Amino acid sequence: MTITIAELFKQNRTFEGYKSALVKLNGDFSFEVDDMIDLGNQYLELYPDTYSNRNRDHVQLGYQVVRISILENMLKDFESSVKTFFREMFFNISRIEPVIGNLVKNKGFDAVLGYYDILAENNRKIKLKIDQIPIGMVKERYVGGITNFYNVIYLLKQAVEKNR
Amino acid sequence: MAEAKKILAIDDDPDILESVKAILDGNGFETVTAASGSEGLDAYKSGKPDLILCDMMMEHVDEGTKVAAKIREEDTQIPIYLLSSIGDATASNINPGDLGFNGVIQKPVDPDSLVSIVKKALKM
Repeated sequence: MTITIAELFKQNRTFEGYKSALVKLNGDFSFEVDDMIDLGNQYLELYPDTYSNRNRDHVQLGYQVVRISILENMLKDFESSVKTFFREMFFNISRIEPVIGNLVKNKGFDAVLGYYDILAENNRKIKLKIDQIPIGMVKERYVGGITNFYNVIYLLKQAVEKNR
Repeated sequence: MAEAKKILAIDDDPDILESVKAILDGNGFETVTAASGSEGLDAYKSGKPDLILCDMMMEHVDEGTKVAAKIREEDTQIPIYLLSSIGDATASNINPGDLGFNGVIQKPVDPDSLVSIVKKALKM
């Protein structure tokens, strides 16, 4: 078993540092409820935030850390070249239509629909884990974090259907 | 052709704003975004939207309620929906009507449900 994501964040401390280190793991990390909570607590230890005294930069960092963690877990079973395309789309939604169009050309409609189905199912599984996190600041970050995946997955589906 | 209905989305998360705008615009709406409660109030005054989607926790943990209260001083009719990530336990303790909202949309939001709620609120 490799390093935990909480330890990885403690070592890297910034979003870009964490993202770079996490991507190198190529999906080989544990992302169970306890791992998610530990990451959240580590983030709050380094970037405190309270309901009564919000730090917006810390809040946005929290969402970004959660999002890259969710994404890398969601993509863990994809081949590397395909992972690159989906990372591009999740971080820049204006790229969804051109990238999906090219993927359909190169891999075929059924293959791309298959990728969508895996992402949608993995999103559902991760949401079930988030539901188990106790109410509080850590859960709020994960709820806010995964919210964007629902939107992006919807846009992916639309783009896939346009290429039917 | 009828003019597109205008939606004002207020949220301090730029990723959410961008993707919500893409979803709503893709469904025929014209979406204006604002990244804070104060920006949202400015956008409301200058843009006269048909419906407002407003996050709760922004500059302050209850910023959404402040925005709704301000808008309701001028307009008691415009549909305003709260986007809440607080959680079911807290959401069930508040009466959205008392705070000026027509309803609460719990995050994470299913985009098909969001579009459906918006269309129903605008009688489309």
